[in-house]
Amino acid sequence: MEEKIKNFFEGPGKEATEHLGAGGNVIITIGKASYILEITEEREIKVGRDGKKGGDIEISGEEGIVKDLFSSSSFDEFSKKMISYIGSGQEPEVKILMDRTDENSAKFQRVYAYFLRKLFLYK
Amino acid sequence: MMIERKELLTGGVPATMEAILNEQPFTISEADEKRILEELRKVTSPERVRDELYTRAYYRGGAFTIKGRTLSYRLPDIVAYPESSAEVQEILKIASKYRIPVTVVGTQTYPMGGRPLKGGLVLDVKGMKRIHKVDTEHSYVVVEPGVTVEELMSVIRPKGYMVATGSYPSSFSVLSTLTTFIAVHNMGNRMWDQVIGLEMVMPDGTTLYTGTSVDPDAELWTDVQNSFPGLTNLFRPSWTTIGVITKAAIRIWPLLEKTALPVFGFDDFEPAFRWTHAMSKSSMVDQTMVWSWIYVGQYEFARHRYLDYVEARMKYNQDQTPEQLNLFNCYAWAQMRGYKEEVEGAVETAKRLAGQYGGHYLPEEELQEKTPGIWQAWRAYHKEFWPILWGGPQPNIGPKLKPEPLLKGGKGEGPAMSSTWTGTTEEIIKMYNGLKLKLKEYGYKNWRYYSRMFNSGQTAWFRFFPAVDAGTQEEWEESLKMWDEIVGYVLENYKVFGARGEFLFEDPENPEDIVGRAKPIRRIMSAVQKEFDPEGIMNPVQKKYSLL
Repeated sequence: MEEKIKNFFEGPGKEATEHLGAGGNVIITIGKASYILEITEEREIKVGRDGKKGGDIEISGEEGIVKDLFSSSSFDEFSKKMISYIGSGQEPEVKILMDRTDENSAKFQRVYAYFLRKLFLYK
Repeated sequence: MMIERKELLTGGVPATMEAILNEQPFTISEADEKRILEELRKVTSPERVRDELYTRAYYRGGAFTIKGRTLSYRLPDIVAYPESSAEVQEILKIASKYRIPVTVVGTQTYPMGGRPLKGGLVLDVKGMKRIHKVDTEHSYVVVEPGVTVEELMSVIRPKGYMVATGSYPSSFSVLSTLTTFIAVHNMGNRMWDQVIGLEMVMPDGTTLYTGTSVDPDAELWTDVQNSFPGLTNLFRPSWTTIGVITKAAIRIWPLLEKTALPVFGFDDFEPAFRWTHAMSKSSMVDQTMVWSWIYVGQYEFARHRYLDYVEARMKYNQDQTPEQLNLFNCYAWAQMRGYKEEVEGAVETAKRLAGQYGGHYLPEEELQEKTPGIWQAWRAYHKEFWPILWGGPQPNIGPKLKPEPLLKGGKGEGPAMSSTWTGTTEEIIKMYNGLKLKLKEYGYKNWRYYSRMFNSGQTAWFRFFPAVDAGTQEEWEESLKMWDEIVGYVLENYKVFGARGEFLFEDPENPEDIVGRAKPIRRIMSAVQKEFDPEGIMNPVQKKYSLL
């Protein structure tokens, strides 16, 4: 699954990843397993297993749905699937794990907002 | 038929835009320009006629919309700053003599004229700041076009009066919104029409009056029982294609003994909207609105609990109640003003009717405790009538409000696509329910809206404005396409009317062939324009491609 997530964000999902701010740290929870998606200062994409520590945002969803989304072969395909899941109320859920401070509000806007917008998770 | 309706209501198709962009600019020889500058300076003053690039660049025009951005590309050649009707008259005579295109600009927003689509002369009327009359006994003022909401309110508010204002900064001119752009305002349920009469200077130098001001000896300026057609509305809205409004008589409203703003929480838009319709029939209600939880939340949590708000936006659907924010699905209120007993009785009526529609009364103490951010805004704007709006310059009167540091875009709306619709209550409710599904097709689980009632409930009104954060040209184009589809969906499925058709015609090669039933309107306007503007100087491109 790590490969699948990495391949998605380096491939079809690159459009969204480009808007994830450097230092961005997103947990992706699929069923019971969690993965962490990081963007380094050098814009390198890293995906690791069991990365619940240090994540600012958590995207979680049913295994079949998240796998289906991340196996999209193009961003257009991902968009269509996502919209269909939003229509049926099955889209992945997003939680903001950061403390509720002004600094983190600004960080959310700077690092995550546009990334989430591109993924149709925050409109 | 579908295309025709859409063009009429939304204005502008790619072909229209292209044709406008291809319009030849005004050209002038250096010698002529020098002569014109000299003449203009003679009738005003040297410092009030400018041709430096840095001044001209300021007047590219409004860029709030995509269309605005596309068209805001051409600079004027000269900018003049008149300070009186007489100066406007002299300037227009010179412009007519040299056939210079004239664009009038008010508070640097397109409402008061807009973009110099052909270059030429910009007439900036912000310096016309005289308040000629404040008649509290008869509830009206006479102001020039540069008088801002804040400036007028600083005079009339201490006397216990207010002027109709809408969703625009208090730095806007009173006339730009009430006479030229006719933006919606907070007195619309009791009386949509706030303008009693106009003084206009026409391009050929003629001064035209509407209302009883045609009689120089009539002390009271009124539009009641005239012996000629009331022409004020012929010039409203105005993209300054006919003349320059140099004075207007505007209604002001007494606060009387008591004001009230009973607020109710509802679980769905439909009952809330029906309650506002029921309330609008009361003669005590100046304005009544419904606000979605998304918009309320934006005001409420911009400074505090912003991340909770964002999380809720990602979690809840349009018709759900965002429990984690402790908000209702939507809020509705009625703005009241009158004598003590009347207002107290109307508040009781509001509570009784809200009970019938399933609304929960929210006393002021509860609003202050649970939703202080939005209550602060509503109270200031709709109960105490201070000219306060977020994002614009803070007025020098009334309480100071804390700015919202975290959200860009004025009041925190952020970038948005926006459209406003009028229709019957039933049809607006149907449209709302349809939009919930339609917008999901574009990934929107929830989106911002608010509604109003006008003229004692005769007209139901609805604005929706989903956020669009498009950072690139490509994304703007995608957003435009999406918006076009959404507007098309509304027009195809609901019997509603959309406002603000700015550029209208069926065939870019033949702009005289204006759409359908609007053709006679175009003929009337053209006849007036030809009569008073034989040289065709007033905003010629706008005139060519719009009804006005």
